[in-house]
Amino acid sequence: MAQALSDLKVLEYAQGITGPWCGKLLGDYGAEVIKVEDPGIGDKARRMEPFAGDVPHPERSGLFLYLNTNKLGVTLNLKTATGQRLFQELIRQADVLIDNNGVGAMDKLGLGWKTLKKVNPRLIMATITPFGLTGPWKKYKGGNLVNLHASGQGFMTPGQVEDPESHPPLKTAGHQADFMAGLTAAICTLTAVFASRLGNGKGERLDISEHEALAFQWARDIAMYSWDKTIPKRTKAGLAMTSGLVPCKDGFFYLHLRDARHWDTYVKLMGNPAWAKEERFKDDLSRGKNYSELEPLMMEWTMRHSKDEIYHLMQGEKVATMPLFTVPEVVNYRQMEERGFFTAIKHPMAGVAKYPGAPFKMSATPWKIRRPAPTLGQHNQEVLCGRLGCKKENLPKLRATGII
Amino acid sequence: MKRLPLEGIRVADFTRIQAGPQAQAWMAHLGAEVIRIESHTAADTLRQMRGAAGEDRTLNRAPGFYAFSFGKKSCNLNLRHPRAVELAKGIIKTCDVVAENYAPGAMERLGLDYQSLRKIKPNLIMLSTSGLGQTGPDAGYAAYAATIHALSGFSSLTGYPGEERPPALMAMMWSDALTATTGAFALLAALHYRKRTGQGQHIDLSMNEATVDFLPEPFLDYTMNGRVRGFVGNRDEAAAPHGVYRCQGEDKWVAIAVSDDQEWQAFCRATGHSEWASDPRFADAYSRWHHQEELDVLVTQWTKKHIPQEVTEVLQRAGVAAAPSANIVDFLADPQLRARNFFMEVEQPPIGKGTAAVVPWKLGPKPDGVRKAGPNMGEHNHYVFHDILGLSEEEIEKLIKDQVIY
Repeated sequence: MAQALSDLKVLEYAQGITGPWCGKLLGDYGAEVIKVEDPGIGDKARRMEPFAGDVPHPERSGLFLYLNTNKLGVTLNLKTATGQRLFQELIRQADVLIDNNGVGAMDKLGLGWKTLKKVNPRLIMATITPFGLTGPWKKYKGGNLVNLHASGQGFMTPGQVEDPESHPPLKTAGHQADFMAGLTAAICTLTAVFASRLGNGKGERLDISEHEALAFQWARDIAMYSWDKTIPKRTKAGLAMTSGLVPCKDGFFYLHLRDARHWDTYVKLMGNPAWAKEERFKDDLSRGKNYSELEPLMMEWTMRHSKDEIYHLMQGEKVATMPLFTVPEVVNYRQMEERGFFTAIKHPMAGVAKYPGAPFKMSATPWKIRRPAPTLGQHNQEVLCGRLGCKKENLPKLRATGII
Repeated sequence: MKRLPLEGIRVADFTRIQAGPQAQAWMAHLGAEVIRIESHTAADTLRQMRGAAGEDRTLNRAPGFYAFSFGKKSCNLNLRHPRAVELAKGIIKTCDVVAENYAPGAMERLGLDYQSLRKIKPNLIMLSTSGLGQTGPDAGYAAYAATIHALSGFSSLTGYPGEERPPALMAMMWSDALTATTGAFALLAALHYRKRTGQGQHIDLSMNEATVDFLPEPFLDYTMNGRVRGFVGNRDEAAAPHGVYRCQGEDKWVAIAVSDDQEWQAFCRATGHSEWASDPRFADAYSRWHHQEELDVLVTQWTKKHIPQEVTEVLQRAGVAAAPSANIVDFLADPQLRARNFFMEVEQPPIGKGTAAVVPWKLGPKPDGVRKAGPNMGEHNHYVFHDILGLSEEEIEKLIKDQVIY
């Protein structure tokens, strides 16, 4: 079956998460992505955990292997004249360049936007930086933790804490900030491609700020504060509602009650206990206020039932309640299995493992893994000889002189 | 004015709350004509929230609704009425994209599912967003961002080290946000393919799956190594200090991330604590990581004497990543966002002037920002039913009276 982006040629000189996630999104939906890495050390994600079998090795980082599926891997030393010439040859054949090397990094190599747009006037160069290419913070260092907190997400993450002093603003799991920046870059890139092909075919420089990619996610709170002076709080006192995590026999479930019907349904499932009719629990506001008294009462029933039982019981009554799953429970969840979400991928060095799969299903042009992540320089011959017309007998010389 | 990238694309937007509407906020911003199809029988929860003037029945005073609806249009259709479904089909015939986030099966019951719609609009692109996807045994289950955080494993991994219970709530509704953004990407990929081949298609977007895709590390640690990870708080897997530290002021904090030995040396110089630089417990990244609790105590002794902005300036000048952990008030004063015109003053009828966040789009010299206010409930009924569908004034009046346009 055809793939949506199979006519796009992408060059990726990016490492870590932001740029490679952008490249993977394009590649998994069909684009040809050539990933350029520095010879010898490669992408820094190759040195990030987890490692397959806990063996730290540049070809065994689960994070790298996930982020670089479907890519062709070449090595080029961009500090050498020959490396730069070969890079420019690749630029000539590309529609898109993804770069996350920092403000001014490509210019320093002599491969900045002004140079590259002369090499290929149709080029779309997506540059992802922590705070953007302009403004007083343009030279500031960022990264997942700092960007996540700078954008307000950290401050708002621990909702309903008892004691804000011992519970600082909290990072969400993984690298959410970096993933959002990469996804935003993918949207901007496709938009620029769309505009370019409708219009005069001219290239464009995309200035993608991780800070802004995250800040937009706070749009609702910004509007509510601006018009209503609503200040979201992170303490328990700041919220009055029943919804939240409730302990049960084998863990927790998330009780989500939107209206009176949901509460009534829940009370019925608990066998209509007498306390449910008391004044102090009469509506969502009162229940939220008296939650510390409510929880132990609810637990008389919830501790006798598993989170799965409660899940299917409540959903059977159309109440949006869900279990708190651990990672193994997600991997083995019947819904994910039925949809074939986790995808087994075989890599020559790291072996077979199940990876998280398609972020969405397209009926005519499906997501597809055509090849696992490349080993360092795996496609040097295919790309340099096949695409750029280098002679095969010159490859050893390029290797010996540290170009590839 | 220069043409916007998606000018000429029309979207029939049946979505509600955030995971759907935020994706269409991108579409509107990129130049598409997005028509929200809404009904008084089930108005968007965000429209029903208390507005600037307290309780309000007009559904037009809730700023949170407008945040994801700037530049969109709104018409009313009560889809419980068969005539309304016919009118919806009429609108869809003139559209390129249909977006919906009802529970799976709902559009089919209305006869507005992809298989039915492609018969009247063969090159249609349809985006269906749901908690668990359109297929599978639990497809019909109701979901919100907070419940998906629990189901996807995200909550089981977000918390303070040593505690058993994750935070009850992640106030950012993160799954909604990342699903919406994924939806915008999906639509652009489908539009790209349609431009090339003329072919439309159906997109099945699950919040649960999009959320797991943003969190591969713990899943691969499990599938590769059988390890089940716990809470790490603000810590990194390898670098220290890496955390959020108490500052001067009420509930004020700063995030600091030292990534290597060179930055550590710079950190010690900038804070005036050269004795830390020579302390063998902190001599290299490996040692610092193993002594991070002691390290955090020392760092806090310094940060506590300063406001977050001072810490940020001192450390960034020395080449160390730091930024205030912003609350909403700090955030609206953020000098970087202000300098890059991320905020815009918008005149939003009927609630007046306020500040809107702009879609993070700085594509060269093109027009950025919020170009139009968000729509009042049914504001574009006349445009949609008269100008697009060609109904007469009398017909429209009758449909309003019969609560078809409602």
